[in-house]
Amino acid sequence: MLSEDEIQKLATLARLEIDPSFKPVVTSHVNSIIGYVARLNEVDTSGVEALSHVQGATNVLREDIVQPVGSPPDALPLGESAVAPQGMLAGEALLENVPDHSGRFIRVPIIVE
Amino acid sequence: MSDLPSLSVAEIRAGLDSRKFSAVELAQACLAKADKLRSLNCFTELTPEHALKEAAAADALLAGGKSAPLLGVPLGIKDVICTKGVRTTAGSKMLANFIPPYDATVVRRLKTAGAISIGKLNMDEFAMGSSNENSAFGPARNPWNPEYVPGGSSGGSAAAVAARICPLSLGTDTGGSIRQPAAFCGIVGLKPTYGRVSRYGVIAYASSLDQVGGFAHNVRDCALVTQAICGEDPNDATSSPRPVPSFEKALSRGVKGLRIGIPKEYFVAGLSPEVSEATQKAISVLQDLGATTVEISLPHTDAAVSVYYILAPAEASSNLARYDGIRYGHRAEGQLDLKTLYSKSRSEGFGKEVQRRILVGTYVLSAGYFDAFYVKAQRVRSLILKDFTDAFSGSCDVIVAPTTPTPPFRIGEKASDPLQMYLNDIFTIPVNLAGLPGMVVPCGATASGLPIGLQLIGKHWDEESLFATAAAYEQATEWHKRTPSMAG
Repeated sequence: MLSEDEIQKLATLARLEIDPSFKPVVTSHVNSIIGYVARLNEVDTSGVEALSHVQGATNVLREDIVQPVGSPPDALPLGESAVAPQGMLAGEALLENVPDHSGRFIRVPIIVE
Repeated sequence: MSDLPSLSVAEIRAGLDSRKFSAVELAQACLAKADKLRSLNCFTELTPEHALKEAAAADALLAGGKSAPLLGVPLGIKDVICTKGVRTTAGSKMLANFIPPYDATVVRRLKTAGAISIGKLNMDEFAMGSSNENSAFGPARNPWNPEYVPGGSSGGSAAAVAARICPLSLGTDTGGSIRQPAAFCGIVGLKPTYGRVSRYGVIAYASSLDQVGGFAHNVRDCALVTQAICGEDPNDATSSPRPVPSFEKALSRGVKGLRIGIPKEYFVAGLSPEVSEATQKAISVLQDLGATTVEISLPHTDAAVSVYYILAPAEASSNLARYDGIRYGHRAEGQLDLKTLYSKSRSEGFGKEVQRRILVGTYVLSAGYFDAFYVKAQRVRSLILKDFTDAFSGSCDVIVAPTTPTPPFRIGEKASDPLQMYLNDIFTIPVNLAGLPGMVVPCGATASGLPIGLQLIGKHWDEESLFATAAAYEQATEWHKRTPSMAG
């Protein structure tokens, strides 16, 4: 059984701030989930390989080609470029979603005291 | 004129090609119906401007004598799939203002096919849920009875198609998120084989399980939308270079001589009598059509939910680490030090179920528990895959089973007990763990009229047998013709 303190430790590791009113509830939920999934101990897996990818994926390599920078062109109806290389996204397009930036720089809190 | 949004894709095709109505008129009709049925909360956003512009482009092509299966056909897109210039929230406050600068490959493929997106569909936050109650934008509702859940996580996608707002939609399925809502809403849905469809631009939940698929009113329409999104993508290394067969051709194949496996572990205590009866009846329909049935065993079925609730939260805790309030997504206000900025942004942005799964994922990946939980689950995943490959290599071509242990449940009924909610996915989860294709077709109704769906499970890469079986079943039955009264 995980205590509220242990849940707090996990939350710190996961960079979450658990609302104090939610902490007892989430502790009980996480314990019931962990208790349930721990039933796997009863399954005999001696000699069984761990499966991380169901199709046995391998590395997929491609030529290292410089792609043009620019917003990907819009797909056109009945065009033929559904999966053609879309080019790299321009920095400006990406910056539009940055919560706080100055010019081309993302503003962050002081990280060195 | 009949209700345009209720038309099948074949009827739309005929109407557009013969100029009985235009793509713009059709898109307007779908948007108007979405507006009329706003109380279902299917959409996180309607996009009339984009839709009407794309519809006008389709009309111009039609006027020039062009045609294609999906040209001018309206649809909706689950809000976990990135759409260029259109807000994509994943059902989360974290991404409430996120406007992707690019289209997911599936969206590009649909645009290239000439389909018209009318908007983004409501969902459980980051695709974590089985009821749509975990959406930061409120639950979508089941059009058969708005007091009931439409299923999840692709609840909005299923509800919009069931309510005849649009003929098609896209969803994603990580543990049943297409099949369960298709069953709960009485429509057709297909999760393709893992690797069949690109995940590029699909906001990640559990990457080794996530797959995009389509919802439709009928099997043929589902084949058309599936066809449009399948195929290799250089932007997703897990997408397969295998050629994609014609799914439409498979529709007329029939089931004569098909060997159908009935997994005994899926007909156990806890299965609702109404679901069990509807499934048994559907099996006898398939027998009457010439299929043979054989009882099979998938001995590790009972372990699947445990495996899933270790692996999926583990992958999610890693995938969701990117939301730190710095580059995109919600950032907490105020003069905060870096760590507090991270934790405040994440706690304000993520809902309770997402936080719960991140905690579970962090626990099973932490030193000391990694082998006991994560690696153990990966090993049992091997056994679950082997259950299926054994069944398919020996005795059957397709597996037929219930989709869910119960019919749709009421909004709020399971909301306070996450484990009870998780157990609702007991029959859909094994398919994701094994990477197989799975399909749902309507096969019955409860005494109160709520839909029941039949699940078909195929071999890897064999969506064709699912389409063939589903089409034969549909032709022999009337369930797909039932529509909720509010669909008009």
